[in-house]
Amino acid sequence: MRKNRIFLSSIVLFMMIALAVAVIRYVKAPLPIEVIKHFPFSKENSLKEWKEKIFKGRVEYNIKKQDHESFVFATSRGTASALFYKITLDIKKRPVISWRWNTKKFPAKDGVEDLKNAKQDDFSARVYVIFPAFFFTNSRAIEYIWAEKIKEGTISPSPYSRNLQLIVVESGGREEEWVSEERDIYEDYIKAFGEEPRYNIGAIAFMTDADSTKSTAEAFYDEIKIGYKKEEK
Amino acid sequence: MKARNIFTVSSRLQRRYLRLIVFSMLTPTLFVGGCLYYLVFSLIAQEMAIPEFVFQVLLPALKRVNIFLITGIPVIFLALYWWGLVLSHRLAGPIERFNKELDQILEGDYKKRIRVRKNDALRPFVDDINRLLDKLEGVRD
Repeated sequence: MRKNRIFLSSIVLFMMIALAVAVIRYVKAPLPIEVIKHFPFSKENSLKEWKEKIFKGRVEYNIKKQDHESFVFATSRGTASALFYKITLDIKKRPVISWRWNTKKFPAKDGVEDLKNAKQDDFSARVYVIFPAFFFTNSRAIEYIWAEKIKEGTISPSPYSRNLQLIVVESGGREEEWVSEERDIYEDYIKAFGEEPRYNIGAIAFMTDADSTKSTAEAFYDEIKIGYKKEEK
Repeated sequence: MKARNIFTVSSRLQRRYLRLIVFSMLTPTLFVGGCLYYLVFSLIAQEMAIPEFVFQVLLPALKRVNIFLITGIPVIFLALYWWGLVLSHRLAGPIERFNKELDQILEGDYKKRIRVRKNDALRPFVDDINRLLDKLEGVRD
């Protein structure tokens, strides 16, 4: 009788552990993506398909190779320019974007870091998802940001317009550690703008800038993928 | 001959011409202006591409242009209205005068002749009518 109870308890315990492992794996598992465009940045000329958009001087975006891996290394010395790629994605099909990144140097900001302060509108790394409208004033964008001090998960409008919502996805330095991101754009849009998206995705971009703080910022980008969330069967 | 009084809308005919002229000037002006406004800003925004840059630079420029347009459009409208008045008066004036003087003749003033300005478009037509009136008067006498 006692043996049976121990046996039954161990089975229940085993099942609970298995369930917990499955839940953890499910939660942590990357979203299954049907990749529409993949940027591995594996070749010297990988940046050719990206358009450079210069705002205040050029940021150096170069393909760097290290330990059989290649990636984009961005250095801004008081400059602001972005790399831009035009791609149309249907927002109703639940688009997903993923990338790997790391920061080496944050722009020097005086005082408390504030997302709404135009004088501090510099980030060592940011990834844009752009929703163009018929007239540009209605265009919207989500900016995924690697901030230095602001808490992860913070969402705030840009100092320039409420149509640009900044989402802090990483905070603080990680030394040599690369970080992978995977974002459900549809969900992020609703979180950021508080309503369903009206326009499809028209472009993506990434930028390292330090023009407002007139300092230096450095970051790495790799493995940018954009596609649709695969429907679960 | 009296100087033209262009600032009054004296008849239904002139009002009709005025409406037509103002409408035909205002519609293409607003349409072309609107298209240019959209095209210029859209092209610049498209070229700048990164929303941060667009909202930082282009939006303040758009606001300045809008202020200029808000003050400029009433001035343009007034200028077009004034020009419409001048043109409608030039078109409707001679016809009005012709009608008035013809009515006087029909009421029995057979000595009266219709007068028009030297450069009026109706002049050859009015001259023919006056010649006809001369002939009719000769026959009657």
